[in-house]
Amino acid sequence: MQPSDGGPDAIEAGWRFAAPADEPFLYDLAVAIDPRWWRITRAGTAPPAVVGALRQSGAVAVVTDGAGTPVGAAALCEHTPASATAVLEVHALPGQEDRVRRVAAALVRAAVEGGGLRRLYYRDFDDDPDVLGEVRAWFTPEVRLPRFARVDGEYRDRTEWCLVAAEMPPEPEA
Amino acid sequence: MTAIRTPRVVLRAARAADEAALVGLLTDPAALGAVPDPTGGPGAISRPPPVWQQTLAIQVVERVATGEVIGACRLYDVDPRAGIGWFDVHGAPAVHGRGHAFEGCLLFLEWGFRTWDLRWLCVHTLRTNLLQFASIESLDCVQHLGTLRERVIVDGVPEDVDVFGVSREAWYAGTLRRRLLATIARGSAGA
Repeated sequence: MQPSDGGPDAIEAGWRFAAPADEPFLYDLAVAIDPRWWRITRAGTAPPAVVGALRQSGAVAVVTDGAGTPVGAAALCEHTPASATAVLEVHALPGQEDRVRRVAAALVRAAVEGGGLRRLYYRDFDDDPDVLGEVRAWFTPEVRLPRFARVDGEYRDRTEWCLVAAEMPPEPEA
Repeated sequence: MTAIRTPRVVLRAARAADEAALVGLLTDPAALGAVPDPTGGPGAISRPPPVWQQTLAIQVVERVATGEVIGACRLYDVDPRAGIGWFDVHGAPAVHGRGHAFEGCLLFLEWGFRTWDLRWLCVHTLRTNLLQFASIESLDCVQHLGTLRERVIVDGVPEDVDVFGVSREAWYAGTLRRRLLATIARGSAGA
């Protein structure tokens, strides 16, 4: 699957692979939603720590609005070819979740197909904004870490969800 | 804290001279908690494991009677912001079924919560290892946090990975720790 505009009925959102010039946006995104992009800001929000964590991602995509302005991001990490597994992280700038939801299915399919994955994992806090939309139903919760970390002053559970690639719905025909 | 002792085992920091024993524990397919070969190929567990890499501390379990290293626990991926640390447990085949590794694991939890400012100590374990600890879920301080279905491939076969966690509160309030402290007291008296 290639980066796309999200389909004919979703002209407000698209995605593309991130370029080095996107690092300032990715930093701003991670800090804006801190600590929800946990892998990136768990060691703090100082630029070296954030950029260092970003660069350890296997692949990063930027979600854009209709004008091409970045509004969200997705990252594939912990890719283990031997077990054909990886973790997908998807995040949106506050207020831009609907645009990210529009391309969530494309991002998930790209991760599974591009990574040759058997299983794809997704982790979130129990009060994270919905950025997956209907794609959420493709995932099953497998592990829950209770009271994992403080988010906005309250301890929040963190759940690890799993998508089985073989059970992913077929891509709708164009 | 340098070591914690029971009448049967001592938990202590690994020394450089322990490396051969640690490699053995981590590579022997018959060892409890052996690390599957990350390449996932046939004859898994054939690759020398990264004993020291990405590990914050290694505590070995030594049998009091013989002085031999019969187990090890490694602390890794400590997340200070969440207050969570992950550990693994390895036990030598020679002592399987005798409770030495389990006792070492309990000593490791005591050491971990005494030494690190963590709220949780968590462990991933293959289901095949879990059979050694069939009653683990019945322990009052342990929470089964979930199962990652077919998470890894060992010898070409998908295997489940179970995730368990022990919270600081549950550890300090649990009967298991009270019994352990009594055992430690006997070990110290006999040292």
